[in-house]
Amino acid sequence: MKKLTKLMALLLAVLMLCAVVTGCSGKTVTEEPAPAAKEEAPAKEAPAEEAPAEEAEEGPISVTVGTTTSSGSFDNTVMSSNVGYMLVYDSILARDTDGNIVGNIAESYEYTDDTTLVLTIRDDVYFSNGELCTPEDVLFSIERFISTNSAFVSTTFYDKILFDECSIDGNQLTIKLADPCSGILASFCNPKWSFVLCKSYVESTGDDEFWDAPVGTGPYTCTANIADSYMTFEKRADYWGEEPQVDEFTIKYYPEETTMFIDFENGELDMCLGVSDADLTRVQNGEVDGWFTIGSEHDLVMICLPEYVEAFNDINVRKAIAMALDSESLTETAFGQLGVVSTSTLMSDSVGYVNMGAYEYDPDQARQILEDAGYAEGDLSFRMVIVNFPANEKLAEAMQSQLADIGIDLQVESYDIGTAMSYFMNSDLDISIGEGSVPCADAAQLFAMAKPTHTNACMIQTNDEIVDLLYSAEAEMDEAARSDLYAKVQEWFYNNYRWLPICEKKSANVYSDRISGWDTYWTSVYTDLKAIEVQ
Amino acid sequence: MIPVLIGVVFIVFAINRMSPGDPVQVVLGGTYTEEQYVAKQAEMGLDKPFLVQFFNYIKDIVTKGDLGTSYSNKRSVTKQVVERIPITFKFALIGCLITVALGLPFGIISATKQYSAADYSVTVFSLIFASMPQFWMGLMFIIIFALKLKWLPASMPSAAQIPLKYWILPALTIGLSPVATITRLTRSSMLDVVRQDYIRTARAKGIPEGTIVRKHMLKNGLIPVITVIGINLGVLIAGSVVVENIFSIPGLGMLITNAVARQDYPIIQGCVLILAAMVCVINLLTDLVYGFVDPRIMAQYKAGSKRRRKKGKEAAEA
Repeated sequence: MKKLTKLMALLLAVLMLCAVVTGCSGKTVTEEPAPAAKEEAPAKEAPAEEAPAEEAEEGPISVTVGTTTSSGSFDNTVMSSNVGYMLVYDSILARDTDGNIVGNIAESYEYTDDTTLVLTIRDDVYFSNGELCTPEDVLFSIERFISTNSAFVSTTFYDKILFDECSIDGNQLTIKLADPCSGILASFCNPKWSFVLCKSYVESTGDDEFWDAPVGTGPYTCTANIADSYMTFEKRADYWGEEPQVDEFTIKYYPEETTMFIDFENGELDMCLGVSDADLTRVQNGEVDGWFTIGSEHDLVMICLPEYVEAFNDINVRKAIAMALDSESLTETAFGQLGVVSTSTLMSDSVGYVNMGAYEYDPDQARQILEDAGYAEGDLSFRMVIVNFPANEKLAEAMQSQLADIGIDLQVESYDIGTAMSYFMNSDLDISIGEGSVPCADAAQLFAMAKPTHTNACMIQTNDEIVDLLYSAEAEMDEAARSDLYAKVQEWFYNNYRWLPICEKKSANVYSDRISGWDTYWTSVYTDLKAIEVQ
Repeated sequence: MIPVLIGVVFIVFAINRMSPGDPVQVVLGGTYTEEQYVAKQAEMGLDKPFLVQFFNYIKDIVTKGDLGTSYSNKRSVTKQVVERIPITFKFALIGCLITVALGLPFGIISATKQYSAADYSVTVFSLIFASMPQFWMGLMFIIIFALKLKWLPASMPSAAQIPLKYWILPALTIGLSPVATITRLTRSSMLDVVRQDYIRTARAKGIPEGTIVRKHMLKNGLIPVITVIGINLGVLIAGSVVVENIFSIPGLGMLITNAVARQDYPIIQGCVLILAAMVCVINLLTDLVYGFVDPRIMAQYKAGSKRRRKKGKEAAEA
């Protein structure tokens, strides 16, 4: 009996140890990415052959979409995102599949002079509550956006609008600007910044109505918005634009990517937005039925060396850091196939992009530069604060190792976004991972972060040359001249090593064979689900 | 209960304001002027002294039942919390029922068949699940039952009414871990009782063993078990964050996790207050259940109540 007791105790102990060790393991097994080339946005693999017409779906066509972006308010002045925005709202202008600015609620636009923009508003657009959309609604929407949340003022360039001097004549809305501003058209294309709201509805309702029953000009109405769970949408019969194919959308939120992908494998979802590298690989390898697209997030990851750090006022230190960081391995480590090595401080598909080339990875040369400048090993120590996203942590870890190779000590601190932001805004760090998110694919929005008026001290530049270039480019209306100016901006950053570009982020979506296409100008910001095609 | 709730709110209030991070910066994002910051801070009520903020918060709760407005989505906190209470409570209750449904019988088996194969098997089974981290257990259940066997769904449906089958995996995940505690506690309580004279007398009288276990042993050994069940239910309501995230359950746990990341003070305070109130109510219900299980305790309650009524009468007459 005693022997049996001992044996049972030993077995129990072994089982418990196995369970604890397995449960505590933090390693994520990632498969090697498929050897297929990385897709450029918005490329896609060929879907299954289209079904013949007689097999078309009967009854309403419903599509269920999985996302890891929590359903936020439909109030676009709130600092959150909502995948359903473009189902309910339309923006003033839009981008076609090639990224060119085209008409939308405003069927056309024209600059009568450098500071006067005339928008011709369509006269056949109705809100979901039956009211006609007028130029007053458009002007109200813009004014409300910046008056409700001042955070967007300088990034959108709406602060250049002289609202008192704007005028309405029939269907024409004349917008007066204080200064010439080439970036403002791009703001009018941004799905969040330029939604047209129903003035009378917004003025008569409260914030909860925005959540539960938003009123917009889009092709769908939101029939349910359950926080952190799902949203449902039904197609309107009276939409002014091209009628979408899908009658009903359900957008389900998953805090855990793994659960989302399992539901996709089980056929509960027709598509998943923003899947992980590991899940994407399984679709690419054919382990899971479906097809995929990899598109640009218009998000540039770069390492920022702020002006307020004394050591970074020595260009040798900045140059040495640039040469010590291997962009290729950092991109592979942090993002896998969902990152492409960046060759400039601007996205490769932005107007004015110039291929400056990635910095040469040469740790020996970097070490020599520091030595020649009088820095011994261990002399330089920096503190880096990051937001605790997995990609950031992998990137920081790899950077630590690469900088240690040249004798620079990098201390990394990882916090939630709220806490990290206070460090960024209070300049309480030495190095940061900057993300140049350009939801409008416009250089002006990205480089707005470098202007001295921006409040993130990690990114701002006060050098007279670059400040002059930035303001000149922003005000330049001629496209060719503007591109030239932004080329000089990129050259300045390349030669001065203040922003070290690492990679351009991509985002992957997977689709079941029921989805036959999604022909849209897609980025993580432009989630235009109404363009989905179903077999 | 009131002093407890005020104390809890005060502590959460203080912790929020002492922790690093600035909710004004989170709301404004990365671009704002000093004037915009000051204006937003005043709008959010964060420019006032700590005690003034606390007093205003308590006043709003007491006079208007208003828990404030979320910084991140501008919705009423009361509305958001009330939407999620039924989901969290149902989830925790089903989990607790699983714990009790397995823990009590296991404990009884362990006690009545002490040192037998059944005793060891039950112990091993319950300790296996006690040793597994909940997030790992949840993911394993999803992989086995949802992905491989396709018996059960992996996440909540997009519907107002949620059928029972969607609750099985999440409830098992949170319900299996505490089984070991209930099992061991039931076992030790019953072993204390089994050695009592009245149990020997009952056996000597020829009462069937099942009746002895049910009516004499279990009832007398249940008091500490009920205490732990009550505590467990409170813990499940307040602490199911990880499981809610894995199974995409839009409960209070997920709400408070997202709020902490966004430094959304009103939601954090509102959720903690409601959770504290629910735990207090559960403790109260646990005390009441004692009275039904043990008539001596009910008699004490009644005697205490009579004494208080008598004192009140005397004071009124005086």
